[in-house]
Amino acid sequence: MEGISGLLGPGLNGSHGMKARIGATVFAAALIFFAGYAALFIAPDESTMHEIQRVFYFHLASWMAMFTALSIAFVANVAWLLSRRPQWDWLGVASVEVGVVSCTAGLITGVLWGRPAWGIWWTWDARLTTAFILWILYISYLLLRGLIEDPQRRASLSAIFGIFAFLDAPLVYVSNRLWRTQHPSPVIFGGENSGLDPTMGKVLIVCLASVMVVMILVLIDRYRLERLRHEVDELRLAADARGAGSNSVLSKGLS
Amino acid sequence: MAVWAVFFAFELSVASRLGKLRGEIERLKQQLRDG
Repeated sequence: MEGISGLLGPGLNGSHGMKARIGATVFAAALIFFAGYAALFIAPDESTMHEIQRVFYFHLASWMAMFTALSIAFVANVAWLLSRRPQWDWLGVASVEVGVVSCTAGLITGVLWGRPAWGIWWTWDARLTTAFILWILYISYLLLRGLIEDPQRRASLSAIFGIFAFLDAPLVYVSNRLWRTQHPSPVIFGGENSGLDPTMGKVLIVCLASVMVVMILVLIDRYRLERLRHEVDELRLAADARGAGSNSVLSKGLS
Repeated sequence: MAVWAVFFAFELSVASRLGKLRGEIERLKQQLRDG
């Protein structure tokens, strides 16, 4: 666990940490620029949907980022219940928040794509409904954490809820394989008639890499936030204890 | 663009919360030093 803490929470005060962070941000910015260029100018025109199909590269990448973040959250939730180390709880909530952000990006790009492609913004088919339920479940996870004061109880209950919520994630993935949906059939691992043009596949990999790098950088910052929150709680306890100690000395002096 | 806008807005909120927490840590450390 110290390894995860060190990996996700390197100090930025040292010049090495700051240089690494600046390097990672510049790399991410270059990747974002190149991914945008590739999706707009390198990817070939799709014969039925034309320009709007270019949303696909970032739409799929957002969902992949969401599945990755929520899988990390699932592992962290299980690890918290087994070990009770606070770092797992920090990683759990950080991953869920980043997962919700990726899910929001996936839903927005889906809606932007749906209107010109289907003529409607939204439909309650199996894929869209299970994805929406997943989004609501993880927002509930974040709301639940805000309602519980005791840190141990908050971590345990949210870990159990997080494990339960994750059951919907594989259902989202298989929904357009199990049922007929308005959402297009899977183009990757979708059987005989599926697959991507080789250039489209390369552009998808670039876009996927850019969204993943951004997701990981945001996750590192969000984990760092949780660690600082823990530090504030400890300092508040120390300040309260010192205040209580001086009050007790004062009352002894008065009596 | 929509994807980057969502991530950028989230990163801004994280940076803002980090800044507030760093300020709070400095305040509490000063409070403990002053006794």
